[in-house]
Amino acid sequence: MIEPLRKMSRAGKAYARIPEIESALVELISLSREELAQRAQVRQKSDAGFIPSECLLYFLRAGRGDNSDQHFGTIYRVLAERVHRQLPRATSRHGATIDLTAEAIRDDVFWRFAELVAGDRSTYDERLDFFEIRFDRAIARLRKTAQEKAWRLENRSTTLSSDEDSGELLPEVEKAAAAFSEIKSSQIDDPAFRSWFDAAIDLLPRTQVRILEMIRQGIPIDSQEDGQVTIAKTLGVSERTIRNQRDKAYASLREMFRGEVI
Amino acid sequence: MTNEERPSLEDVLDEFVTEVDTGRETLERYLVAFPAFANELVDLARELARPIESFAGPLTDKDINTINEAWRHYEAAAPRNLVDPWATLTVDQLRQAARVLGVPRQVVAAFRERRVLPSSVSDRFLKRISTALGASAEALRDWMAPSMGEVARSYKANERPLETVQVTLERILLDAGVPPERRKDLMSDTD
Repeated sequence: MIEPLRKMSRAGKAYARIPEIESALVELISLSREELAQRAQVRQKSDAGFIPSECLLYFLRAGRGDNSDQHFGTIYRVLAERVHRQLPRATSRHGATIDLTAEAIRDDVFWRFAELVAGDRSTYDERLDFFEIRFDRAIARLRKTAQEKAWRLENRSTTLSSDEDSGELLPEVEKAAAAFSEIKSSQIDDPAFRSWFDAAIDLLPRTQVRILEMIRQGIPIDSQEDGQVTIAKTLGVSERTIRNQRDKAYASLREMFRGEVI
Repeated sequence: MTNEERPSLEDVLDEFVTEVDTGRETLERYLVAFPAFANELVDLARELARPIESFAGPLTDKDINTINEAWRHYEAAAPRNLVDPWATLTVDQLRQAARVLGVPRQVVAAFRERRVLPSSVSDRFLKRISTALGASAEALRDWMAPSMGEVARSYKANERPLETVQVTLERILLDAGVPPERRKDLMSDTD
């Protein structure tokens, strides 16, 4: 029998694994130790026999009472490797390091995960339940926590003063913003550019990062429609300020891109 | 104000992560419902949407060393050896415990054989059974808990394992013929 998760939601209901994972566990639980270890080595998600990380974690937690069992070492290493492969590499598109902070974030995320799993051996940790529901997203959440810590240490600005930035932009900023907008449109299909672009955005002030994310999500900067979520309303500043911050972000990205190319 | 009325940031982010879809529509719904957490929600949405292609190349030496170190840490974190609270109990003691609890002996046996689903046993019942046995409730709970460990131990064989079936306390009581009122009383968490 598959042990249910223990974490309770606000509504007092127990969280549950997604149906695909529960079905996978039903199938996997009948495998022998050898078969499970073999299947765990299948790397490609698209390959038959691939075991989702949520399931690997279930078996690892199930084996918490087993000491020094190499079988669990196999599962552990596969999971640990997958976590590593999901963390952004600290490189630019030309291989040079774009941000040493990224390396610190990788270490932080991996060790947070490793500590959760180790601690769960002696006392059930409900926070790991989320990793059994959506492993990749739970790792993403650890990344977010690690980034916040890194940004705090870097003392990045976090807030916009209300509407102090609603004036005219300097012409060179506008020009650089427009130039970057063009670069983005022409290169966005290149995975290397997208990877660079994503890492470069991380270097911007946090409010600019959020503005760009909301633009990417398709949320309008402003709207006359009642009840429409807008970037201006969400951040509590004027539409003009949002546009200025966006253009400043693009201008910064343009500079970074030029620095990469040269 | 209840937990449901004033959720913590962690609660809200937990729920967001477990939504079926974490795209624009869900994000907007959360931004409307929890405006105070807008920054964190947008930050999380960005992380969830981040285009991370699983790196396919060889891991660096540093990565490999880190994994090895983490595994050693995991090995060292093995739980203390569980003491079997049932090991020293005689048949007479088990019989007596069943009498005190007012249940058929097979109910007590089900606990000893770890056939009871831990989540189905109230703290109150556990306290009563531990008192009847003269054992510690924590030791009993811990002993019940590694139900998944039972599955894991069955992996020591290289054959397909026997299915370890754990059932709810209610089912155990039903199968033992305990009448409904008594079952209700035994399973209740309040005196």
